[in-house]
Amino acid sequence: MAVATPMNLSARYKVVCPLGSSIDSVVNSEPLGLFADETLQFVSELSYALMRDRRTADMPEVTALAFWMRKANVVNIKKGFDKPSECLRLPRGTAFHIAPSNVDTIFVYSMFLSLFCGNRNIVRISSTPNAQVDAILAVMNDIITKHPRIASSMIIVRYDHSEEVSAYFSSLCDVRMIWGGDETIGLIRKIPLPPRAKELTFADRFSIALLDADKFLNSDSATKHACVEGFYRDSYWFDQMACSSPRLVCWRSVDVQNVRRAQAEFWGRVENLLVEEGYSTAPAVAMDKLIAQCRFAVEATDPISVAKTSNLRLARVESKSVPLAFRESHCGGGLFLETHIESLTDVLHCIDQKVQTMSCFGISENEIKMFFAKHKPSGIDRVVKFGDALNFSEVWDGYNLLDELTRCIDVQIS
Amino acid sequence: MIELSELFDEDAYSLGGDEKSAVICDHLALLSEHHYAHCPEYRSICDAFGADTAKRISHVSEFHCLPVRLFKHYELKSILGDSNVKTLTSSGTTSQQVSKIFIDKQTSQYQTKALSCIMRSYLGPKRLPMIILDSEAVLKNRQMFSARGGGILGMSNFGRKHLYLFDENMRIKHEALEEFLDKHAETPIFLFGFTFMIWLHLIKELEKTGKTLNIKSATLIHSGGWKKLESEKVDNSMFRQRISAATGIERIFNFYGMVEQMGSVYMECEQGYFHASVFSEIIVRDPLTGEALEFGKNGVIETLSILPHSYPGHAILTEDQGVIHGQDDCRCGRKGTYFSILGRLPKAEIRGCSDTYES
Repeated sequence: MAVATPMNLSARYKVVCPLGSSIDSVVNSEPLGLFADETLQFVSELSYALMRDRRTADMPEVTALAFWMRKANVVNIKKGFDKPSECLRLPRGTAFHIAPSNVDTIFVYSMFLSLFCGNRNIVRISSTPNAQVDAILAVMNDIITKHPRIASSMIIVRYDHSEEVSAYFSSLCDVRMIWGGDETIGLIRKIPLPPRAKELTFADRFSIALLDADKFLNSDSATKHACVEGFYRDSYWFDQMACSSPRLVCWRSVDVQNVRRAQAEFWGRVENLLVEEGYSTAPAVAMDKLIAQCRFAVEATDPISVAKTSNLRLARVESKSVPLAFRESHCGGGLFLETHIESLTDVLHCIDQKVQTMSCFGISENEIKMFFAKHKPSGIDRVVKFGDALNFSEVWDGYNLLDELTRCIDVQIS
Repeated sequence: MIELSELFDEDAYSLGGDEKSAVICDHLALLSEHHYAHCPEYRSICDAFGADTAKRISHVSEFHCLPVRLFKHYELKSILGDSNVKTLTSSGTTSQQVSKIFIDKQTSQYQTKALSCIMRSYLGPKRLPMIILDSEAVLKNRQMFSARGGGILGMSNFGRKHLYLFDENMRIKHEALEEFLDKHAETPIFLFGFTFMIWLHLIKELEKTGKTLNIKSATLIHSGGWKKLESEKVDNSMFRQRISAATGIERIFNFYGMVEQMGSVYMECEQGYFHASVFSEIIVRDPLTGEALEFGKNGVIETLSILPHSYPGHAILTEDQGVIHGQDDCRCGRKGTYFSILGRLPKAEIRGCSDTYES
């Protein structure tokens, strides 16, 4: 494919941060160092501003982003990366990030990890207007003027998908990050990269939750509350559409009666919390959930049963096996498939490569480690506590992103 | 139990109260059992939701209903043996997936007879000279019936001396029309068409050319979605005004119906309300709890029909919003539940990790 010249393409995308910047000025800038002071200062100021700005108040996902960006956490990320015995690390060069249109904050995580690694960044975000994205960009634009080195290391652009524009940016990059949608990955992959450039793809993933029913029943009320609150956060913050939000809930116990009792109490508490939090479900989403329940019923090989809930804010389906339709026709918004397992080994029947996060309650780290060592499952890249499913981490989808975004220099002359 | 055949000869709006609800319940109970036995998808869904189709039901709201979209996902049918079946599809102009409805001879007859019974209340007992506000070209493909073609054929039973008003380019056949009106100057005439087609090819065309018709003694019945008209900011009352101005017609009736429940349509009355006939019932549900709501409250419309034997379309949860105003006491004099439609459920905003491409 012929790469178009930048001149006739610049009208096809809109630079939204830093305002007035250009691709040329970014591509020609001197790379920053790894975890450069300038970067840390910028991130910390941005974190502070996002936490306090009126425009981003009432946006929990932005608060979570700001929390991730706070100084203490960035220092932690840096600590994890400082591995003295290993090779020398340098930035890769220029990263081209392609963010999904519908998880509002992922482009910021992706870009900042890359900035920590000292790379220059071209970030494509969707041209669909979005309150969260607009607010983040506004705050970022306020602050970036005081940080000329950062301003010349990044550029955020908006455009309706265009193969030519993406091809131009791809021709400039050393690493391309495609944040999901299998379909998007398939289409972007056809666009060539320079021979030395690499690509990271984040495909469609699904996540599951695992509870030990006996442990749940034996917990005190405060622990149960924290468990349910964590589950609420994991599931409902992005209307269950984030790839880390659980869609399948596995209940572990050898005693079926305990599973029944734990389910009754757990979901009762979830329903109360949904009311307390004022979580609202649009009628069209309720309809989608109802239709999804019907589709599971029709397409499942084993009979399923739809558990009664007081309100379609929460929709449940119980099944012995995990029907494929459950993932393909999932509509989000609080629709859960549940299954009963007797041991951790049974989780193997519920997962495949596409499973990303398993959030756990009442399962020990030791059990998990043994499970992985023994069964070597092809899926599950993350195991976290309830409430942490949406927490972004520099290790994601099986990649250590800081390693992926840097070049490793092997020096052996001593 | 009152048989369907007895109902076809009665007035479609004479039954009310417990008597009507008993008729509906008796028939729906039989249909539920029938479809449970013969439609595997319907059976799986009833089983999953714990709906017992053999249970004695005392209120129409207790029958398990299927979301209308399922007819787009599956070929739902309860057909015994290889009886002569025609497939009806929704026209599918706005969405790509179409509903497929399987109608055997028996169900088709029920639909025709029920529709005829309903139309009698509006057109009188005699068949009137009829103008179809469409092009005959729509009927050409008889293999794959579209809802538009099916609707036209269904309605043409209630008129005679049919004139298709538009040519294949959807232009008004003025000469043929004049001839038709001259010939039938002494009798009331009956016009039928689809709302948007009437708007686009009759009203706007007449307005553009500055022509008017004078067919005051006519009755116009029309149906079809309002979606495209809404986008042109045209509502029912504006539509009526503009028709009257362009044609002189004053008796104008819309009806609410769907390809999934042909025959048992909900006609608009002189008061501007849609009415359930003796063949149908209407329920308004809370979209989140599924609870049947009291009169006067807005919710999602469920339509019940006692006609569908060859496919499980007897209880359908639509994606339309509406409100029931009352029962048996409409000022038009017809019994049964009367209601208004308040548009489609608004579309949901989709979030998630998995789509960067469309925008």
